[in-house]
Amino acid sequence: MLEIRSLSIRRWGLSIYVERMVVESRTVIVGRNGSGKTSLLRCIMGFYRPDSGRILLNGADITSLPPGERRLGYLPQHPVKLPFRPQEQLRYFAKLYGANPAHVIEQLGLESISQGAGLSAGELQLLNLATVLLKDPEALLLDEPVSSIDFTQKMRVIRHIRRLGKPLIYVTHDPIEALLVADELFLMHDGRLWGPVPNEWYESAENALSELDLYVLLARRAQRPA
Amino acid sequence: MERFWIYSLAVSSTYLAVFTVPTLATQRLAFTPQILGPLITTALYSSLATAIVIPLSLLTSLGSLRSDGRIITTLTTFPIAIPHTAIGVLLAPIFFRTGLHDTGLAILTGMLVVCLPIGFGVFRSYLAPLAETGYLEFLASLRVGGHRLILLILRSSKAALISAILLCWFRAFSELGVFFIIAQRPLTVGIYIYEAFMRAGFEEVAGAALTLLLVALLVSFAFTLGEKGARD
Repeated sequence: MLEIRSLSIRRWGLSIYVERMVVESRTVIVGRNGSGKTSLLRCIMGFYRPDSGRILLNGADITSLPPGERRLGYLPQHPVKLPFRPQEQLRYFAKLYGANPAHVIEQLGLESISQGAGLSAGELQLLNLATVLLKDPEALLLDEPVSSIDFTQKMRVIRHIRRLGKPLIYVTHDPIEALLVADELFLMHDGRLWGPVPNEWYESAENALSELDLYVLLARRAQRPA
Repeated sequence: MERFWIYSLAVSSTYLAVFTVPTLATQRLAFTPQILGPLITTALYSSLATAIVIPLSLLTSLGSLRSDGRIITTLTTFPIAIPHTAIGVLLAPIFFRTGLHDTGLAILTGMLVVCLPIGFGVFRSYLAPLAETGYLEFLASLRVGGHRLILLILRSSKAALISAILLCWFRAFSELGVFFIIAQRPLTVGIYIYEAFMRAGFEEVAGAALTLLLVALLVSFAFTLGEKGARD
C-alpha cells in the first residue's frame, strides 16, 4: 500500500497539495496538462523532494530515499529505448535484480517481441514495463504510459496494466483512458487532488466505452472483403 | 535537400581549397621528415588526453543536467572563451614553481584544459534532449547508477561518443597557445611549425603544414566512417 500524507510541493510556479491519498489498487489521476499530476508522480518516485509531507510504502517512510532505493516501479511517458535488444534488456535487468525474466515475459505476453529487434512504441513500453516488474516493485507509478502510442497498442498495454495485480498510480490527461484503467479515480486540478470520485460516476461511462469498442470491431469486420 | 547538399559541399570544399590551393600554387613543397617526431608525440599525448577527458566530459555533462547544474556548465565551459595563451599564463605558476614546465605532464594538462569544454558540449547536447524524455530518470528508478549508468549511456550514444573523441582529439592535437607558455618541449606539432617558420620561413614549413592537414583529413574521414557504423 502506498500512502501520501499532507504532501506539499512548490516548483516552477506550481503549488501542489495532497491531503491524503491511499493507493491499494489501480488508482488513476486524471487532469489537464500542467495540472501537476506528473510533478506529483515524480515527487513520489523521489526525483525531487516535497516541501513537506510524507510518502509511506507499506508503512515505511520513503520520503527521503533516493529513487533507486524505493521499491517503486516507474514508467515515463515516452517509451525509453535502452541500448539493448529486447531479450538482452530483460536478461541484463534480471541479472541486476536476481530475478527470473520468464515470469514477466509470460505475464505481459512478450514471447514474440523478446526475440525481435525492432519494436513498435507500444511493444517498447511493454518491454519497459516488464523491465520495471523485474525489480519486483511494491507499487507502480505510470506517467501517461500510452499517450504516445496508437489505439491498438494502447489497448494492448492497458489490458496488461489491468492484469498486473499491484497497487499503482496511473496518470493521464485522457478521461477515456482513465475510465479504462481505474479502480479508483482522482482528479487533479490546479495542483489540488480531488477524490476518490464515487464509483457510480464512471461505471456507466465504462459501459459506454465497451459499446464504442464493439462499434470499432464491427466497423473493422464490415471493411473486410466478403 | 539536394540544393542544401550542393551548398554544403561548396562551403566545405572552399574551406579546404583556401587552406591548400595558395600553398600548393606558391610554395616549393618538400616533405620534412623532422615533422614525424613531433607528430607522433602530439598524436600520443592527444590520445591520452582524449582517453582521460571523455569520461570526465560525460560525468560533468550528466551533473549539468540537474536543475542546479548551471554552475557546472559555467565552470566547465569558461576556458573556451579565454585565449589559450592566457590559460597558459594562468597555469604557469603551478608548472614553473614545481619545475614541471616543458614536460609531458604540462602538455597533457594543457590538452585536458582545452578539451574538456568540447567533450562536455558534445555529451551535453546529446544528453539534454534525452533527459527530457525521462531516459535518465527511468534508469535511476531502475537502480542503475555509477559505472553501470556511464556504460549504458556510452552504449546508447555511440555516435555522440565518436564525435566527442574526434573533436577532443583534434582539439588536443591542434593546441598551441598553452604550450607556448608552459610546454615548448617535448616538441609538439604546433610549436615545431612555429619554430621552423621563424627560423626558415614559409618554404620550410609548407610541406609540414600540408602533411598535418592530410593527417587531419584522414583521421576525420576514418571517424566519420565509424560514426556512420554507430548510427547504422
